[in-house]
Amino acid sequence: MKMKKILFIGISLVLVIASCRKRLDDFLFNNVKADQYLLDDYTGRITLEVGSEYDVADSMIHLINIPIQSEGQNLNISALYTGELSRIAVDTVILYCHGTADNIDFYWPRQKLYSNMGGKCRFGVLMVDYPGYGMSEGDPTEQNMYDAVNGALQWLKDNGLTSDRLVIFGFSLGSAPTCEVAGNPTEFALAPAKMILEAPFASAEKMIQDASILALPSSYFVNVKIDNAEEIKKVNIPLLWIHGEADSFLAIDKHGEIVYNNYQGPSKTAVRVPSGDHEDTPLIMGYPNYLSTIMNFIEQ
Amino acid sequence: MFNQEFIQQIKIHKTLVFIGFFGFITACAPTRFVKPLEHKQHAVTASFGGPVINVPGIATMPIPFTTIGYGYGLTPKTTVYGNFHTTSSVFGVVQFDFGTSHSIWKNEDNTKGVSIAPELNFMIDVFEKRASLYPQIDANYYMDYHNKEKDGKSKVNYLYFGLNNWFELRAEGANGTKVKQHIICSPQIGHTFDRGKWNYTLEAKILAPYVSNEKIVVDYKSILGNHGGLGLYFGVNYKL
Repeated sequence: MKMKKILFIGISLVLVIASCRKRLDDFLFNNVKADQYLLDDYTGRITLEVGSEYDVADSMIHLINIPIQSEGQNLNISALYTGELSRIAVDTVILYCHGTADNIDFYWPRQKLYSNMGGKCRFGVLMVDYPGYGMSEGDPTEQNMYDAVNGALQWLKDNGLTSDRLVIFGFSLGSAPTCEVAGNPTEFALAPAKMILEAPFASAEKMIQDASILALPSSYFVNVKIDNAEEIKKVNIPLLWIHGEADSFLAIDKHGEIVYNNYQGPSKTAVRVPSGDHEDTPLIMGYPNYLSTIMNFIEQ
Repeated sequence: MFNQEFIQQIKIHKTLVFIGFFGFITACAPTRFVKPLEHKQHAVTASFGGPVINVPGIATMPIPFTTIGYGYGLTPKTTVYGNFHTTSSVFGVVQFDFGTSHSIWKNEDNTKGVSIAPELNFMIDVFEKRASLYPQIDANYYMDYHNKEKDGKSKVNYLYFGLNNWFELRAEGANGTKVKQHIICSPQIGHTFDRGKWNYTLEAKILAPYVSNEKIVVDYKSILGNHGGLGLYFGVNYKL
């Protein structure tokens, strides 16, 4: 009788627990929501500090609201464009897909760097906050991250940008939408002419297997299907890859090298940064050197 | 200027902690039945604990893997058992282990002995139905001490130490990468307070001490610095 009781309780407990469907996708995104962007007045943590020589005039900073539809939701996505809006129709624009941390404020120093590449606002730079980041509505998912980037592309297209003048740049988590757009250009509003990856990760599954030692499927943890190492095989535009050799977060040999080696497009350039960690490659390379490397690639 | 603390912060940021939540899945439970049960004896078991990581803003703590299980003394030397991994289940991964614990040597008064426990770990997720099978074998040496009998109830303490070994059968990992670690070997030490019907076990493992814990997305805590991880566990058995 006692045995039956324990068995009944045990089976009931197992069934109740097994009916749960908690996933870890939420935890892939370290988003921080914000009511407003503080930019130069931001006092939160940042990884790069740039001097006043990289300041961007207020008149060149444009906060953009982009309405999108994603996964049955209408969302307003926030993005920051630096440069003259009127030049979108005639000049090269960089769409910057940021990493997993915080929001636009955190990556603002990087946008300032790119906005000063080759001169003040030589290139227009658009950085988009994925849903749930900064002032963007919603909660982040893999799909709405892609939809937000597509919304940004549509906005650029509506403002006169053509595919031949678009460079897409993905840092860390941003390598996912970058590879997705570059690998499947017909599914997005614009098809970039060039792509830049800085500290990309190979796949969600690779990240999990790094941590577990075992070759566990990613479906044990997350629903996301991010697989940059596969998407890059479909890319047919030039690639610039930058990765710190001392990246303690996404090891160069386990992530960046795999993506780079899988690339089968027309031309690829690798910049391995000795002693560069995950976030500090611009600093380690030196900002002028870092920026000239990117600019040379864009202007090739 | 680059904030040197940031890399450390990001490594322990919530994303990475929770990827690591199931990370060291080889380290999800203590050894089952270091001493086999008596012949025809039934027992229910539960365990709690896992690899130690730093949860930002909370504490450095073991990941709370939990299991519940059942064991049966098939012969005087052999106990069969099975466990359901409850924490995994919450995340949509049905995980069981089945095994036997064999006494392969013991001294005359049964105060010292060696047991081995071959086991199969099976897991499958309910989303994509991707299954995994991991053979495991534990080997432990145990020794009783400070045995007492009070009010007709025996109080036995025993210390044990041994090796926990998991076997990765897959040759290829994500993105076609070659699996490098086919045997994940973890030395362990534990102590059991046997109080008749109830017994309680505390166990510590040095997880994969020969594997670097650097340049991965989880910040495992290890007494060996940049290698392996530390696992801490609590187990309880109730003999029916």
